[in-house]
Amino acid sequence: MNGPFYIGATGLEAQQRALEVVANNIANINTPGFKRSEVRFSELVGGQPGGSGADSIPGQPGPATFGGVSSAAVQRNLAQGDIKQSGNALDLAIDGEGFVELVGPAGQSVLWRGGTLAVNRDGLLTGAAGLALKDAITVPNGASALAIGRDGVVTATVAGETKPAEIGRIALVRPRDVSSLVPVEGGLFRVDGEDALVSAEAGEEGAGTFVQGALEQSNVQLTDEMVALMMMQRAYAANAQLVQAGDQLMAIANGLKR
Amino acid sequence: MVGLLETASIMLSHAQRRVETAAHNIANMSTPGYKRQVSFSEALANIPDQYGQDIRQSSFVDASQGKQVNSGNPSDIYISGPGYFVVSDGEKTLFTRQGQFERAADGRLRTGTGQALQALDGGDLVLKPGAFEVAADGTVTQAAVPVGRIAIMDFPSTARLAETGGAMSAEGAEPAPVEAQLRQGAFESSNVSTGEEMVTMMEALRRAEGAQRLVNVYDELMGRALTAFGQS
Repeated sequence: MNGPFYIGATGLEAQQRALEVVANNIANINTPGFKRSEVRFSELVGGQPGGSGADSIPGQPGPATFGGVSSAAVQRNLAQGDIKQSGNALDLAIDGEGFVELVGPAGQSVLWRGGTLAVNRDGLLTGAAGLALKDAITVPNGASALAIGRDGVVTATVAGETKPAEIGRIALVRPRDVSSLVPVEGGLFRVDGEDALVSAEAGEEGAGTFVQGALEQSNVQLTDEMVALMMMQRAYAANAQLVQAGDQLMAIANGLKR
Repeated sequence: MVGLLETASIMLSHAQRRVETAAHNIANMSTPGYKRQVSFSEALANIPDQYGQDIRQSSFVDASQGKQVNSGNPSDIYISGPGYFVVSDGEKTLFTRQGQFERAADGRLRTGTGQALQALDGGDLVLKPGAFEVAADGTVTQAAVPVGRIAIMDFPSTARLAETGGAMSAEGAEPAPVEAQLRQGAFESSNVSTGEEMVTMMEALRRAEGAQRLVNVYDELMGRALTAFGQS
């Protein structure tokens, strides 16, 4: 007698999960390089057991039992965000699908979609959260006019020289399977497993090119998120109605005996 | 007299089944490609001489088209018109209109539950690295080179499709390829309408109230009969 309760509850739970994802997207609308997520719903079906109860027919399977819905997966949408000029020579954006590989605190590799570069105490070029680039580019002391080409070649004018010289090259990597990307703190991604990354040179097909002095904006579209938000509110309310209907049915059953 | 109680019991169980169906539809109103279930009472001729027992609650799938939702995601595919995507987990072949696929590491397009999209000439559709385009007839091209064609199948009648969690399995029915219009970067929303489900729900609740009244009347009649016999 309490089927609608459970089915309605799965709907409420799934919509709530989706609401959390939308809230996170909107909260990060101004985070450079942020990639929006979306929830994939899938239907639950309980199979077809032998029928029982008043409307079963002996020897025939009962009608399918309904199970409601589940929010099966949260899918990250890696679509390109708008590239906005910032004027800061140390800002770096990637126009394409590639990532820059950084060395994490424990030596593991983390993936970065670009942002503001910095030079640490050892003279190494660093990305987000002070993590050094895997390409280990050392900027000589007193170097000026740091420039990053579209192909990732970094040039700088070393003190005492007049012409810029190449000091390194930033490479790009691409995950073999975009669904294997695990988000970690600070807008970075991690990929588990050996051989999950493909190295690519900037400018190669699909890998993308570098844009110096620009930042990639988040790919969140406020209108899309707002429409999704309104849909979820309505769906949540409708599911709550059905739970209430289940409650009324039980009240009726309880009221059979006066 | 017993017929009255049994009828009420069946009315209650049918009302519950209807509310369950409505709850399932409402829970899946955000599931892409979901087709609403319609609950109906079915007359059964083979159990005669029992009040109410010759009716059972059954449901069918309303296969009408859902709305097209543009997502801009290249692995989302929308079918305009009849037909189903063919997906397989290696053992079982299923049919679905759920057009949100994920591009897996091995180049296959997989559904949320892990089945791979099938090509028209049989076998999984396998993409090479890089972007891909889906033409309206289902031909998939990568850098202007065709790599396969997405299979779109349909059935003479959807009556024999069994629901198995977001996809249909066909037992006994023979699918045939159909000409379908595909659109990349969009998916089909569910065809659930909140209004209809709410009406179904309210109607079922009133029926349950009717059944309750029936039981009350029966109780009253029995009470009167007992009193009358007791006095004589």
